[in-house]
This record gives sequence, C-alpha cells and structure tokens, in this order.
Amino acid sequence: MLSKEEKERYSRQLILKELGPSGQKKLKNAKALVVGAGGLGSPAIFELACAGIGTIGIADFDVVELNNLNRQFLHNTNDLGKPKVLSAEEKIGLLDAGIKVIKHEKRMDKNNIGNIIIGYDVVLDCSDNFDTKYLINDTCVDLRKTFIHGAVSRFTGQLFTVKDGKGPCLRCIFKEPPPKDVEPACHGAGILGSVAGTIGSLQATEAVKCVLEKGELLAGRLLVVEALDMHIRAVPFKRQSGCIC
Amino acid sequence: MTLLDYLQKKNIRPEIVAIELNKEIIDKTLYKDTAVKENDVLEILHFIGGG
Repeated sequence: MLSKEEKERYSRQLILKELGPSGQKKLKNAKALVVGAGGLGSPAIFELACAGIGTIGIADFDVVELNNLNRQFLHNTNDLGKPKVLSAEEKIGLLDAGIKVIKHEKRMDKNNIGNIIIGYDVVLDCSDNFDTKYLINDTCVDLRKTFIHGAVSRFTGQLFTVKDGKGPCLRCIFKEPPPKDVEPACHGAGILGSVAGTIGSLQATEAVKCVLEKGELLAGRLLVVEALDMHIRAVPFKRQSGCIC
Repeated sequence: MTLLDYLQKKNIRPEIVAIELNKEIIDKTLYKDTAVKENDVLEILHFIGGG
C-alpha cells in the first residue's frame, strides 16, 4: 500500500494509466545503479529519485570540483571537495528521505564490477570514459542485466538500452574502444551542460520504463541527439554475428 | 568510391566512427573494399564517451 504522503507526492504520475498505484509500487521496490554522479548522473539520479525508485546505488570516486558545476547540478558550490556520492546522497535526502541510497565510492574495475551490479535491477551507464563503458557493457551482457548506455561530448549525445543484457550491445556498433588519443571526457572535448542533462534525463526515463515494463525501449535503436543543429534521430542497429551479446 | 575514400574526402578518421550503410554496420576492415553507390544511405556514428 502507498502511504497518504506517497499518494500526494506521486499524484501527478499516479494518474498516468501506464503507471498507477501498482506501477508506483514497482518503482518503490526497484533497485537502480547509476555509474557516475557527474553530467549524466546528476539528472539521472535526481529523476530516478523524483520518480520514486526505492533504492538508488551511486558509484563514483570523484570529489566535486568547480569546473563540474556547469552541468552537474546535483552538486553546488557548498559541495566543493566533497565526494560526489555523499553530495548526491544529501540531495536525495532533501528530496525524499524515504529513498535508500547505497554509495559505492570506488573506481569500477573488472574485479569489483560484477559484485556491485549483481544486486541491482537496472544499471545506468553515466560514466565518462570508454574503459568503464565497455566494462559495464560486457559485465551486463555477461550477467544478463538491463542497462542504459549514455554518452555525451560537445553538443552531441547518444543513448540506447540493452534489455536483460541481450544484444544488440555497444560492441555491435563500436566493436572495440577507440584509440587512446580520442578524447572521451568533457574536460578535453567540452560539453554543454544542458546536452548532458537531456541525455541523463532520458536514461532515467528508459530505466523507469524498464521497471514498469511499459512502452517501447531504445533496444536496437541508437538515439543520436545533435543539439547544435537540433537534429534528433533513432538509428536502428542489429546484433553483430560473433558479438559477445 | 569506397567507404575509406569517402571518409578521407570528409577528413574523418575511420577509427573514431562506426558506419551504417543501408542499415548495416560495416566492419572497419571492410571500409577499403566497400563501394558507396548512388542512393546508398550512410549513417556516420561518432565515438563519444563523455558523461
């Protein structure tokens, strides 16, 4: 049963026929892991919390820096120097103290990622480097976990969903990581904050749809947002033969 | 013109993109042997990894 407070808090989404009280209970019982509490993670984490996802895991090992604040709106000037997982937990607490936050203040590597991911229903890849993105892809495929890939650079964003770790996956588009001299991170290539906000928010939307089991997921479709020309398209892609997925 | 010629003409490094030709992702090793014909639909997908 939803409490009186929950009925009021979620009243504007409870009237959605795709959601309703039973959907809200699914969200409350769901466990989502967000890898990266930065430009993509800020909107993703906050939107998941607003929607009422009951348990949110946050994996990040960085502290808040001033140059994060053009886009990482979960953090503010008072948080400078604070671990991002802690800053994120505090903001969720202010929104809704009923949401459980699990902090993973560590760098994801091949030795620890499986043990972290296994406890969650859905994973949001909000990381900022190719190594972690491939690690999340390969682990979720291996563990048959649903994950939502997100990536941004400059004015461009990309997004797709892999349901239950079953391909097509990241390697079906980009078989191997690019050469090391390709700039993945926002500090090298630059990023407009609202573009990261758009993609992170859409990742949360996909995660909510996964939990509700409603709507059409971005599975086998790469959403490309080119905000400079405001050209948005979904590019269909297929599982490649011989791929790990 | 091959896919590799096309990328060179556009000044795009092959290693930083994936190419979908008529809805099929083309393996990078085949860029030099894959012809681009009139009315082909090319989708150039850039590798991005920021977050």
